[in-house]
Amino acid sequence: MMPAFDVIIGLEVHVELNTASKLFCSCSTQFGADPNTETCPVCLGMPGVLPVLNRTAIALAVRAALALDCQVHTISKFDRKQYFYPDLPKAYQISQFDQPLAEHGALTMTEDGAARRIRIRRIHVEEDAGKLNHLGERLGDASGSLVDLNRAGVPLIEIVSEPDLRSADQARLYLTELKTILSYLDISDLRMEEGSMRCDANVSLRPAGYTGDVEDLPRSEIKNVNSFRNVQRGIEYEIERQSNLLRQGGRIVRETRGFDDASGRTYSQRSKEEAHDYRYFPEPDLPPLVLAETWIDQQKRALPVLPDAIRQMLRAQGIPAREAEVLVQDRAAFGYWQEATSLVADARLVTNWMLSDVARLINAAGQGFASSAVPPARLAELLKLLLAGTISGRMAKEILEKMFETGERAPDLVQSLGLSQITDQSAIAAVVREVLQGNPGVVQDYLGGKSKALAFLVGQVMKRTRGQAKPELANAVLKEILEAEYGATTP
Amino acid sequence: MIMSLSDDDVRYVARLARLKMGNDELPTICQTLNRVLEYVSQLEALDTAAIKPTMHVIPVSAPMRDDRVRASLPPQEALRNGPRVAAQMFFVPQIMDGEGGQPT
Amino acid sequence: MTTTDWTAGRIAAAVRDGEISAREVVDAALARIERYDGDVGAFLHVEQSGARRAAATVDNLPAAQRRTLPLAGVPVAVKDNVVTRDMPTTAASRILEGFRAPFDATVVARLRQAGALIVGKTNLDEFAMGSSTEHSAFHPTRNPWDLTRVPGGSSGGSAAAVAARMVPLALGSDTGGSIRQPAAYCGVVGMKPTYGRVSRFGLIAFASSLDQIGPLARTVADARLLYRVIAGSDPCDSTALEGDAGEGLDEAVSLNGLRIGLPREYFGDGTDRRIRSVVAHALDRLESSGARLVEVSLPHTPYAISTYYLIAMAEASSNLSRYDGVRYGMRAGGRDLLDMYETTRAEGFGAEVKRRILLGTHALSAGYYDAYYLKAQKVRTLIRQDFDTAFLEVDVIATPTTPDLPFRLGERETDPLQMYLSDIFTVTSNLAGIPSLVVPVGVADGLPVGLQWMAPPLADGRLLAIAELCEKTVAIEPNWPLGGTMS
Repeated sequence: MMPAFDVIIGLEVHVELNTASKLFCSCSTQFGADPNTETCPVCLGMPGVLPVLNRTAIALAVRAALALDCQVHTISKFDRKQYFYPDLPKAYQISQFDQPLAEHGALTMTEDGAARRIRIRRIHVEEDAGKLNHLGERLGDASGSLVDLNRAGVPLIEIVSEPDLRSADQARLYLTELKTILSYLDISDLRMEEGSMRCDANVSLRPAGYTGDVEDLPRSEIKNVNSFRNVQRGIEYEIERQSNLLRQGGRIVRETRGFDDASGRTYSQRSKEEAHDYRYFPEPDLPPLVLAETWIDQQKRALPVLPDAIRQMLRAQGIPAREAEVLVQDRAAFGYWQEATSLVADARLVTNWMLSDVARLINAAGQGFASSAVPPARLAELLKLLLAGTISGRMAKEILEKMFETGERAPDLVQSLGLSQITDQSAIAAVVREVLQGNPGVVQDYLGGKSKALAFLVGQVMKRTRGQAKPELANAVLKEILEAEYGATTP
Repeated sequence: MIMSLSDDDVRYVARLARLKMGNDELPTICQTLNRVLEYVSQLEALDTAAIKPTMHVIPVSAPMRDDRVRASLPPQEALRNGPRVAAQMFFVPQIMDGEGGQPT
Repeated sequence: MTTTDWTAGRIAAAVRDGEISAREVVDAALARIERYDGDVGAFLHVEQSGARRAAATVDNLPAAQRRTLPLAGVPVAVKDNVVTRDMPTTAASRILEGFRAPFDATVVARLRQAGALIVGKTNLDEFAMGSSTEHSAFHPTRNPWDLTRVPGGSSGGSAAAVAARMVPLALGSDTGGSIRQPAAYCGVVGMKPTYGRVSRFGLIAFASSLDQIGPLARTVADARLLYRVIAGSDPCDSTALEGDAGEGLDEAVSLNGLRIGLPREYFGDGTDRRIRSVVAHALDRLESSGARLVEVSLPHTPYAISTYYLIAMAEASSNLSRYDGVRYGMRAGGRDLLDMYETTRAEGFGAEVKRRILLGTHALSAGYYDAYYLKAQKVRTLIRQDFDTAFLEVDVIATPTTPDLPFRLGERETDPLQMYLSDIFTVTSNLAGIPSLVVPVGVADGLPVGLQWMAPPLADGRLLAIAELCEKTVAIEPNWPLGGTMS
């Protein structure tokens, strides 16, 4: 059936910045501290307190904006967004309303091999709220909630996309690419499960022939979903729900909806009429934020190489697109790769080893590339031995496993396990002669034209050397002796 | 155009401001507010289309501090003024459906 | 020895030189408070033990160190909307009853460092909203000149404490005249510095873009002494100005040729005839001492009250949202969260505060922002420009401080708008951010009259110097109330 509507999706992503101290005071931002141990008069919203901006928070926000191709404004301002809630100590959040830090950015993602550009409307800086712990059981004479203000005042950026996304899949791709880009900037932990990255999705359907502004379409705002997967599920459910509603002649209302993980459904979070009257006005306690062009340029120069450039570089080095993507999306993997390839020039070899054996072993050990028991320099040592022919590929695998087990270095393991390859031609020749003497029947078969017999003989040489003979060398020496001493002719 | 406030408008504003207001207080408050609003409507006479607002009276830019952690309050100090405290947190009565807040 | 009659400067010098002890000074101050504050009601909290401890600290310092203290042993009263670590801070509101701040306001920390003895917290109109100190949740303050009359407000407690010579110095806060109007009503000197000259950190916000802390004293020299201690940039206040706050403080000025602007909008017949006469007399004296009186115009003055109240109420509605019963202060109700919020705030705030919260909330609510708040901030620009233009022609501006003499308690309580309109001469300095200072220049029917001076932004030092000349020139020997003389 032809869809009668276009799907219109815009995403609002909140990212906690990983500064040491809060946005407006000097309390620590460390996650997981005991309740209310990271609070002071400022973030408790006590009478008489005033905010003072954290320079690093602004620098990190500017870097995010530059990495997302935004125009960073040299003048922006802060505003108060007002509503009462126990996790918001001043009953207003200091945010940026009509003059945000940055605007007009974009992100390019790849969908089915084709590049797709999603515009970013704005990025602004604001403070986080505290945390509410709702009491399941009754406490004393009433049930209620407990307020922990450790998180209150932690710096956030909000990244608002234009409504350019057309499917749940695209929304997920956008989030993945956004997270990949941000991960290279080192500005946030980006942990959805700890709330350091949060996503709201605005979903509306545009009837065929609608020519008005998509902003005017009634939309659902799916709030605070806790994983990319659930953002996708929530959007899929909303598209289904809204189109059914429209087909049945119903009307969509603008509302906030929650997402229920268990059922995969969204549900209406009814809010009172005045809940959206935020009474924004310019924060009188903070003069405008004025950034010097030179300071912005400095932040630009501090930007690392970003995913798109990395993809190009990897392809130039002959890394296939799929492997390249795996490396790019895991920033630690790419860091590992970079370090390893700076020591071992064969980029494809490094990639293959990383994505097969190393990946398998770190997964098994519950590690990541950043925490791997075998750091990149150690892998490089191993691969150098392999490239030099000191060990075989099979030995290398065995040694790598031992490296993970024992933490020892490859050269030491080669020694202690006696695993180095025999590359001395005369040593191999002696073994070869023994093998030929011990297998006269097979030698006869070979001389009689059965070239397969050679493989058996190579195998015997390897067996006698406990695999340490370099196979190519064993092969060559065998042929040489068979020709010279048994009169074989080259097939 | 500045219009006068109805009882419903005043109720709406009182709810926004989280001020409980009895129906008996409403007429007096409504009347007082409207008298003030009527007075301030004199500003309509001024053409300010080309005038920039004065949001900050002395033109300065926001200073920025270094990202250094300083000691927070000991939790007993932070909570000392709390009208009701439990488990080292501020206790608040149950939040009813629709008492929005705004998850950020 | 009656140190309560001494100026702060004289006390500090004597304590520094070891002529008298800080302990003697503070005991005299506390005794006078004990004797008169039952009638005046200037204080919400008297901190005897803290003040005596501070005195002992000063007395026990090595002489060399004591000699560096600009306010050595000087008793100071602090308006109770400025937070103090070791005393209650209520802003004269039920909603903050029992609140103890875990920190000192920047100005308080500077006072302590300067060797001052903080003797207590003074009364005010709740959250500084009012001009009579009748709107305190706890008790009204009375004017020492006539106990049936108000001391003005909102810094009425501080002004009365200084006028009654309980303390030589007090801190006030001024959002639309809250230092200057009570200074005029109580016959003392009161100064609102340039916006940003004094840190607001620890000042309980009323209207953040207008609030300034400033000194109240019996002489301009004393006001300058206190200003010098409290002024200056502060890493905790993003709106506190960098640069030398003491600029111009020691500059020599002369009345000779000084151009004093008299804005015609401030000299209408809406002002009490007796005030006009005292002011005219003072201006005559200044003119005959060489000053040039120049008529100027501040044409947007008629819009100042509307502009001021829209901005102040909007900001106040936001600043007072934090009193929600969650983290400090009182809590009431509690069937559920909404009920707790609404009951706490309804019972915790007084009528005038609620009125302003409602108006301010309305002025910022959906659909009204442009018509009210934004409009007012634009007219504010016009009012600022009026001053910019005037200061091209004159060095300083002089005006009456209030249209009326101190009124009787209860006389004005019924009509809020009428009360707002009486702030007409003082609100413009806050809107323009300029420094402004009131000096007593005479007495009419036994009640003091103050002359208001206004100077260009950042000319605080010069303003103090000019005010001191005025004080010398228009030498009045006010008959200080409640007995005593100036020395």
